[in-house]
Amino acid sequence: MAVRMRGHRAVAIVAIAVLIGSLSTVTARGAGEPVKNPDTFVELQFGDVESLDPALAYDIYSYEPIWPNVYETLIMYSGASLDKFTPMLATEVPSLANGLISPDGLTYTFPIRKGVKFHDGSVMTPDDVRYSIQRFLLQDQAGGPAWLLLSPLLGVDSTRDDNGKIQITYADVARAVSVQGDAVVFRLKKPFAPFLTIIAAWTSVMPRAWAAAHGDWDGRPGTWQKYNNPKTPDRYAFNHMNGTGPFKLERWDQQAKEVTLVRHDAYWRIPASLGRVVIRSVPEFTTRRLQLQQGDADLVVAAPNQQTQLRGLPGTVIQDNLPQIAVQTLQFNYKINTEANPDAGSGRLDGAGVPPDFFADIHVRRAFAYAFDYAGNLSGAYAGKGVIPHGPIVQGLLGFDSTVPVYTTNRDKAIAEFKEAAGGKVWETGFKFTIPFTAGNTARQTGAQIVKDTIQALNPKFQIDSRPVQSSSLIQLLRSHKGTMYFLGWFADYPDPHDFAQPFLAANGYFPQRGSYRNPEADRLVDEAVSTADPAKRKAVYRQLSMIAYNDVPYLFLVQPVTYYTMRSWVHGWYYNPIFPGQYFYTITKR
Amino acid sequence: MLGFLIVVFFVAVALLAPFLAHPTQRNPYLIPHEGYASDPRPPSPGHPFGTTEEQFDLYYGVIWGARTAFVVALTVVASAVAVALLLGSLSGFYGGWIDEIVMRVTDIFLAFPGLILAVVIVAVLGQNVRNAVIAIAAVEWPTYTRLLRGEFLRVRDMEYVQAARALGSGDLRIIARHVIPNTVYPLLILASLSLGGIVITFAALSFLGLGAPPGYADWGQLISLSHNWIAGIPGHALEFWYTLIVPGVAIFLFVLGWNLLGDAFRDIFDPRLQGSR
Repeated sequence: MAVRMRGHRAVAIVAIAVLIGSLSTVTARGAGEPVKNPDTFVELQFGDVESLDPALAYDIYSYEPIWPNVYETLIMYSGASLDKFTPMLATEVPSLANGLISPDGLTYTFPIRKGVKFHDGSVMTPDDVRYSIQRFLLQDQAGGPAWLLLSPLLGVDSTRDDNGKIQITYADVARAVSVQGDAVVFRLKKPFAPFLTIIAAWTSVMPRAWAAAHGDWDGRPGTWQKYNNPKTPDRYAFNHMNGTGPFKLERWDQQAKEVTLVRHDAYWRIPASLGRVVIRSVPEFTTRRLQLQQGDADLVVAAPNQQTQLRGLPGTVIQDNLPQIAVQTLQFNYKINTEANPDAGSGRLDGAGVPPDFFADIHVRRAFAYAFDYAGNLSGAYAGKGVIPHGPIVQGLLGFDSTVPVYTTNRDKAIAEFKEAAGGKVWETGFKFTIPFTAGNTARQTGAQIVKDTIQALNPKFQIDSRPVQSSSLIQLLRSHKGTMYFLGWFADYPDPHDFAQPFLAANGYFPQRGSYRNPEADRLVDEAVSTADPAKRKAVYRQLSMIAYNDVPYLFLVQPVTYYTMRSWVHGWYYNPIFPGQYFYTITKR
Repeated sequence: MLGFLIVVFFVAVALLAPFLAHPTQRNPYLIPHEGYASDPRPPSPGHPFGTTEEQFDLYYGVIWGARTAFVVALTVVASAVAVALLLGSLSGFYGGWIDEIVMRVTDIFLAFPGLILAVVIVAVLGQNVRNAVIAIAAVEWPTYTRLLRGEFLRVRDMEYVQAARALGSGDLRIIARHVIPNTVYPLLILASLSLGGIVITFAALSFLGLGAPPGYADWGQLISLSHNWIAGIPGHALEFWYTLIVPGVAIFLFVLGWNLLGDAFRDIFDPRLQGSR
């Protein structure tokens, strides 16, 4: 017994010695070291994937592996440009000059590349392109991305009307997207100048046979209705991928919140340099940083106010001040689902909760708008990196107007608005609710703290808490209307003001779908703006829309940020395009 | 003796908190902060212990955190002792089916790891200080109850208890006058020893985001605010040492103090140790 004990102890001592030894060799790593795992690229995020279906995913974390890494589009943004394109699955970029855009601007013809292989080995046909685009249009999950193509092609933002009844027919879709020989032809309702910018990011192609064999829509006219508006995990493509891109999906570990991609060796261009790409969600910042420091991660995403801890890390570089066509907002839910919703407290205006329609009161929203500390948020949460936006149309887009007024912090006005809310009842009884925010996003955490401090300082009966939630859970929470007040950012799907006016202000836009904001005048103006060709007139309509956003206050527009990525200096070939949801791994090498 | 001094020190800090760190807000437990700059700032004349991320003042947090620690620890111990006195005495004195039921319930509670059970309870009840206290008390009471029951079993057949019964005393009188005074010392020792542990459990809950909310004067919460900064900045791993060391030392001393004091109590109260001292 005693001998065995001693034996165990000896083993333990050796084990500890080895452990310490290995630790010290690991910490001795630094700049100038040989490239670690030269074949594998590891990106650490704080967000995680909700769905891998290109017709359904509509957040940057989900869309990063989808495009342009696993699925590809007909044409693609040329390098960092936002208005020049290179052919991808199409062999030519349509223009008036090459005759592939009709003189009336309504017909776009894309000759389809031959010999492109999907990840399952099958060869892409024009019919697969037709199928994929039609699937994107017809699947149309509520609050999903289908409107991006529905709007120019069919002149509607949804396949369903306001009562949820299907309002389009297959014939409409077949007319809009059809195969002609080796080409796929798009017919628009009205001329729409930024159409190619949408095609460049939202026409992911998957094989029809593969999808149909796994229970998805078969591409036939009569059956599509039952595939309309699915639940997120309903489709095979939810967690399986089969595209033409330089990488194929190896594994999506939903438990570990990790997506692993491997090189597609039969890629139609030169296969990628990286053999494997891992995108992992690590909400804990220190873990992310240490992994980058050790060379176990090649690129990390971090909040703006964490940059001081990344600057000067040996063997790394920061790609800083990358412009974003994006806006960070604080949003109100007009119809809170208070059922089994601890964030809404008691669900009544009794001082221990908020009623479902709490934020439907303009005075409440204005009070929050006047109470918020915008400058403190910009300097604290965003380390001063960004500008305060003038409504939903951000700088860099047509229709941006710096004369649109903004709310500024004004305690007295905030109190006055609260005293008017619900006939004075809000001020008398007080309220209590919880703000959910994306776990790991310290900028939003600080924002929540600012709301809490500024509001609670007005009245002791006002109580606000905040809690971190995984990004995919937050998306599901908001989809079931359980958000009370929440931070959300909008990143351009394509560089046009319609992509900001529609998601923020149209009743079936992304945010109103979650926060139940409605304004028929805004709906009308969004339609008017997108069908106006004259830029000057269009600009005027967007100004009107920005004024509606100012007067209705469905959102507080907090900041148009710039972003940054921190990566190992052995990463080469990385480039940035503001439209990319994440990284484009194809051009990256490690050496 | 050292333990006693440390505990007296913390009692003084907790009692004198309003004078040591003058509250600026309605709720004195909310730590004041200036602005929302994310980087912690080192000790300076206005902030003798420095500030955490978002500029919460560490000095203020530590001082008022002492109050939080006492409030939490004493509330938990008091409720655990109260439950133990009720259930433990019923169970130990009467035995039989009451004993069976109470002991099986404590078994169920003891079957779960303490912190995990506390986390589950807070997750169900919702995050705030009161619920964290309830959760920790729910984890603590079985130990006290079993201890008291054991003591009851030992004492209830003692001759002086039988004498009291022979003289016609009622159950309540026997329990209150004869049994409890002779069984309660181990409970006091346990209580003083576990006060420190309770504060650690509460700090763990706060660190996990299940105890005090951010900005609340609580040591665990302060450590939670430091967790992004533990690794310092590149090349200066100890750049933000104060964010961790200050609340860490407070917890360390508090727990050490109670443990030493608990040991001292044990030496004093336990007659069986008298010879061995």
